[in-house]
Amino acid sequence: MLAMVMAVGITSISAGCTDGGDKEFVVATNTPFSPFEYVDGNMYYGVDIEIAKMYAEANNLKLVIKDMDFDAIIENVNNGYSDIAMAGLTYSEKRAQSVNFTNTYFDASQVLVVPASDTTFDSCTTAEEVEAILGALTSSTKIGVQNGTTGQLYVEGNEDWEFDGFAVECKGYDSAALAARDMLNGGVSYVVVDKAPAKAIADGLNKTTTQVKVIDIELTSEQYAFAVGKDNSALLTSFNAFLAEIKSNGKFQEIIDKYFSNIGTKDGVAVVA
Amino acid sequence: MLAWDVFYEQLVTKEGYKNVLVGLRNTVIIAVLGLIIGILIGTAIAIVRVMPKYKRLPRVLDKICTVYVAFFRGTPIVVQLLIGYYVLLPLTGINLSALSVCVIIFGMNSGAYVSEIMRSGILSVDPGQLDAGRALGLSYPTAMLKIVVPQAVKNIIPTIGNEFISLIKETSIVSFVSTVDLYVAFKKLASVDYLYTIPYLAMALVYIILVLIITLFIRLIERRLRVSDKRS
Repeated sequence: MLAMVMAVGITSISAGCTDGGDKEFVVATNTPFSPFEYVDGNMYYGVDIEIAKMYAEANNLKLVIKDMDFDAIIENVNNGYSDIAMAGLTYSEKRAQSVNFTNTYFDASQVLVVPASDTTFDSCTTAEEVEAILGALTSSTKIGVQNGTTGQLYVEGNEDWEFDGFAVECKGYDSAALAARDMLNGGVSYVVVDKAPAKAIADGLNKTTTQVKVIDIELTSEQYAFAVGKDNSALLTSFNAFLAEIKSNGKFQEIIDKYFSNIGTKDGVAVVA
Repeated sequence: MLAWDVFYEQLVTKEGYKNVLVGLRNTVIIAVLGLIIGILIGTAIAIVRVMPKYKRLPRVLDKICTVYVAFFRGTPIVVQLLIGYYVLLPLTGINLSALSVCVIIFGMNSGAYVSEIMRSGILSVDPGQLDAGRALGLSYPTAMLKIVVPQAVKNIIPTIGNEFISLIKETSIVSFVSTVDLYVAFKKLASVDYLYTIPYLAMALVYIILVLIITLFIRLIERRLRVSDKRS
């Protein structure tokens, strides 16, 4: 019996690999969080994925991508099962107590996604006006978020993040895409999600008919960073140097242009080799 | 229809089926090995629990088994998986893949349920069978393993089939430990266009086919074991 279990262990996962050195560079992520990480057929794509691939190639490491529940990512990195979390993670002081954040690489914010027919927020121009409307809602209104994300903290309220929260009922989903799906089915009135994925979700859902719209008002101001384990300062130093390098030589901007302006060819990583 | 085209493109043209096959393989590995471990653990526990308790050792073993069953039936399997992978495994320092941990946890969890199934099977065998074995000079373990358990197993095959089927369907929580099963793999197919309808229906179809195959397989075993019943 034990032999059988061991055999499973050995043959188990060769997924999400690219060739390189013998040493592995294990990345913990959570799809779908387009355009930072998503799966298209048998390929992982996204800003985070391409940065990971570039780092692995530069350091002659074998890239292994582990796609898991968002809530499990920090725990996975802390236990050393993965080297780094690359999942559009928002930097916060509270989170920095349990992991080592790299330098930030992207300015992000939360926005509202509403059904195309909804006109509640059409006259709003500032975050204060949107929050005034949200603040007036009662617990009979439901807002959808992805579990464990800043959006959830923003709607429910959180002292560490200085979010007051709202009186509405906050419904958590596996992904913001599922929350948006449920919004179309009438399960929730609005969805709060990061701006870039909000646009990707709207693009996906509006392919044939316009079903949702993104209220383009930034409700929060946050920054994404990657996270390594508390005791892994070697990788932290190396990765920060790498980030500074690709930012100065334009490679980072190239990746951003691919996913935000559709310039250039996207470079993915096979899910199953 | 757009949804069909997208699904076909994701599954075939862009080779998403590779991931589905890995998911299918993992689901089957977890369920089959999990059930085998479960039957071994479950049988051991069931024998301990029906043993006469005149001596100290059986009493101590019985207490241990009671605690084991209470823990594995009393907590959700996702909690057991999280504790096993993120709390206990780092403590042991052993290098096990996430899939192996899933197999072990699903096996241990199943063991708790199978122990009760097996116990009811053993109790359904006429006590005279054990007495006769003992009277013929067989030791208690021999009489139990050679006479009572084989008859018990025949009685519980349909219920073990139930356990197998629920194992197949419960594996979706493995995404918490970064493993792919059938559910996780199908969910990925909607990662780009958020068109969930067809991936979900296709997933349901694959599960039904899987369960029908298992049902057929169990019926065959059952029929084979009942052959001796028809002798007159």
